[in-house]
Amino acid sequence: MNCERIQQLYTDVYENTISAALKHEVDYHLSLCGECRADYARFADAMQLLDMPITEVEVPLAFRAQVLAKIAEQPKPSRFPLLDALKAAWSAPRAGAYKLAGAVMVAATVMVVAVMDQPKSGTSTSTATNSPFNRQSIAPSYAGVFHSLSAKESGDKIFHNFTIQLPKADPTAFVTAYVLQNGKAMTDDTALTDPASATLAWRENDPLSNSVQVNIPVAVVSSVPAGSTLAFLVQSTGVTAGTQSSKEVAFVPLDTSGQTVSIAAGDDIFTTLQAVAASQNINIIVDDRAIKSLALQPYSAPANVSGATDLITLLAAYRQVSVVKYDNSTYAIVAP
Amino acid sequence: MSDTTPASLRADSASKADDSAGAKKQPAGDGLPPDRLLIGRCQRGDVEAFNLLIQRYERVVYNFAFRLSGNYDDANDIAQDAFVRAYNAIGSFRGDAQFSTWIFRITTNVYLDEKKKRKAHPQSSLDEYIETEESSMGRQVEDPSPTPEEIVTDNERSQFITKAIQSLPEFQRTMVVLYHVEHKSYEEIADIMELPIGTVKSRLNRARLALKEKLSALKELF
Repeated sequence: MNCERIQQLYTDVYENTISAALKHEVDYHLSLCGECRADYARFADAMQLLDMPITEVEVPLAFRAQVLAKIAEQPKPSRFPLLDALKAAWSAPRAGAYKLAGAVMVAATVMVVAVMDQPKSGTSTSTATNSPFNRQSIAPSYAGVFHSLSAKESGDKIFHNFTIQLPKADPTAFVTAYVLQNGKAMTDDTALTDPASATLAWRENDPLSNSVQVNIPVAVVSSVPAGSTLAFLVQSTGVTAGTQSSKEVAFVPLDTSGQTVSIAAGDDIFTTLQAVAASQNINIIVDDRAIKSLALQPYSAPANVSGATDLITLLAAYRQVSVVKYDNSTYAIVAP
Repeated sequence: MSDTTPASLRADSASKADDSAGAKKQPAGDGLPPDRLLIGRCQRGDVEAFNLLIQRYERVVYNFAFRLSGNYDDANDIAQDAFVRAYNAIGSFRGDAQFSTWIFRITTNVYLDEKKKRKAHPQSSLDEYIETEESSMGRQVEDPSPTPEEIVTDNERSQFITKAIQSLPEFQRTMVVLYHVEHKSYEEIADIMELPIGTVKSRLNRARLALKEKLSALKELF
């Protein structure tokens, strides 16, 4: 047996998976050949090192959300490829006839976008007023997804409340959310280590709307640093399955523990909002259409602003309205 | 969602003791439904079920991709593409193999495809090797491994071993990672790489021979 053949058997020798006869031949060679003996010793050392545990690396926090976004962004295969091919073949010589239809579709799209953009103009008007609290008609910040104030639960958990309107064709959606601080995920042990997620399901028999409300725990820290944002991804399933909307929203919970505000027991929601707006030096805008939903709901006075905002959040959820944060000083209560 | 770069979302690789050495990598006891149920739901178009599958396997797949590619950005791309491919092909998964074997096979293919692409457009081919049937020969490049004097901690030992593995041609590298890092058996590696066991063993032996010089120097330090 020559040296080259011995090398080919190193793994088998190390793992003792060769026959006794072959092992005897190898041992005999090694006893005579000092070079092979030293070489095999280095091999065995290398095997021991390779089998020592290796430090694992952490998976990026947004990994799953990014995979789901990639999946959602993929072009969907046609369910009727033959029909599509026929249509393409038929339309090819008549391309000109379709230009008008195309133009109409583009125009329609522009109109939809314009409607969706309404809130920004509404906001700029509202913030021009001197009063920290006013009522006017406004639209949600963007179609489909509303978000409300973040609220602290008992203990240190902070929840963020979403109201999401699902297309009727897409009866369920999956939401993933994670907290970003200055563009980086919070990886501190005290922060959420996994993206929060929740499953929504459209309530078919709900006469109110096709919107669903969900509380997502977004952090387990007692205060989220200023500048943090909450990124989330909504993936609906159904007829238009695969479409997705992902947004990054401001995430500055009103953590105002300890501050007091003058709210009397029995005060209605508007009085409470006025008190909160004044004490926090923020603008709160209430959509006219939300007034009916909110009505005049008397409740026991909370002890501080934090309690008041938590209560507003809960009330908003219950009454199917949302508190939308436009910027660091302007919030709006809107109807769905 | 903003397209946050993977690097900006990355946690410290050595931040937690329970993440480190010796942890069993095969997901188990995670409280999620069994693979079989999740795969069935995925095949009926349930994206949430696929999200749970990712949750179960992201750690092993990402680490596998990291050991293959040697850097976080490529690991992120490879692991993400592997899951996207798995999602697209989940309808054809018949349960003849374990899902873990299947996802490792897909990840391996994504990695090898990527290497092929880079060879076709060799702008980043410093670690390119030409592998022949019987032997392989690396280009003459500067050895990126840290010198023994630079090695002080376990983490650095891991880095040293990882870099040594990086010096192998991709097929050998894949096998070494599967066997020594992911603790797959020869049979599982044969399944994942769709090769005869004999080929797996002989290529692994060759890879270990190639590694022995680098690693035997390290042995003195531990």
